[in-house]
Amino acid sequence: MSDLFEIKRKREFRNLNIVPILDMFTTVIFFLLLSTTFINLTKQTVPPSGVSTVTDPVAPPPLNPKIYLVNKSDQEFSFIIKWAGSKAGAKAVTFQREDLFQAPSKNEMFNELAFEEKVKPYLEKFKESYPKQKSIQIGLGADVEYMFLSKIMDMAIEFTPDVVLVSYNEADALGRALARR
Amino acid sequence: MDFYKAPRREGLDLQLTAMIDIFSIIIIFLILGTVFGVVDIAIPPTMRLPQSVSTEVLEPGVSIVIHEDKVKLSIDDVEIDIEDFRAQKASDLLEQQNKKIEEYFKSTKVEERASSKMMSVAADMKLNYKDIFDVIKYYRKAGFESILFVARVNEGAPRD
Repeated sequence: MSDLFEIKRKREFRNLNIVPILDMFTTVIFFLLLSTTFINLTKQTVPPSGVSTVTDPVAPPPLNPKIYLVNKSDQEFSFIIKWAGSKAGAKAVTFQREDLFQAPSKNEMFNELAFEEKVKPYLEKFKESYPKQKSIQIGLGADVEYMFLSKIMDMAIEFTPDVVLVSYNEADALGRALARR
Repeated sequence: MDFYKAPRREGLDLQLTAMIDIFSIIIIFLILGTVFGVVDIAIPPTMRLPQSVSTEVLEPGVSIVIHEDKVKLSIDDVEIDIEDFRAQKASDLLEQQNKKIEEYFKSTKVEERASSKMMSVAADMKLNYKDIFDVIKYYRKAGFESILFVARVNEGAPRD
């Protein structure tokens, strides 16, 4: 009988132990902060190649400008910008490898500013002469480092929105011809 | 003579509820502030990307990582030697990869087709142009139309 009329126990509110929760949250914050890699990435685009047909027989021939950076020797680079058209021309500048790197070691630091100072005036001059030019071709020698491509694209895109990559065979052939002269 | 009784110093009660609120908000902020999955390129820790002043944002799509003479495509995650891209005859690995690329193009929806033809290239800045060019040339032939070079933002460079 006593079982039937058992007095129900009052429900007790359990106190939530907040201290370990707080500890856990603090750990999670540190974990998130330490595991996050803060790298700001960007991109440089080489768009799909286009084909254009010149239908106007009186129109001047296209400029077809090309930029090359080739190893002239172990210690020298040659930067060449050439263009076709009615007033075809070319400009070339040679500079020492040691001028572009801050330390002559395996992990040498690329001095981007020094490279820009040497190359940019030629691009600016070209742009002054041909402000309507919309595309440019870039070719590097087979052994030239990829970081130069990135730097040249940065500078070229300021002048022309479209960039086309040219084979290293073409660039090296030009470099060899330059070395023979 | 009455002596002044200094009131007993009471221990400060820490307002835990408010602190938990703050911590929860920080966690939510950190989780939401982190960009997950939009651009999923696994860049090896030893890889040094070139720098660029470009302010364009990376786009989702297929990516390749060229590091230590190996090329890894995000579609199949198989590492292929750079030399294979120069060989006259495609290696077995490349042939298998080509089939996967074809399947990938077929499986993409019409509205996603343009972005599926983009390929992001993450490569070590010290790599030779020859290596980069040969790999890109191969994937262009495989059907990727736009090539996007992944670079680190050059923080010190002046912006437009």
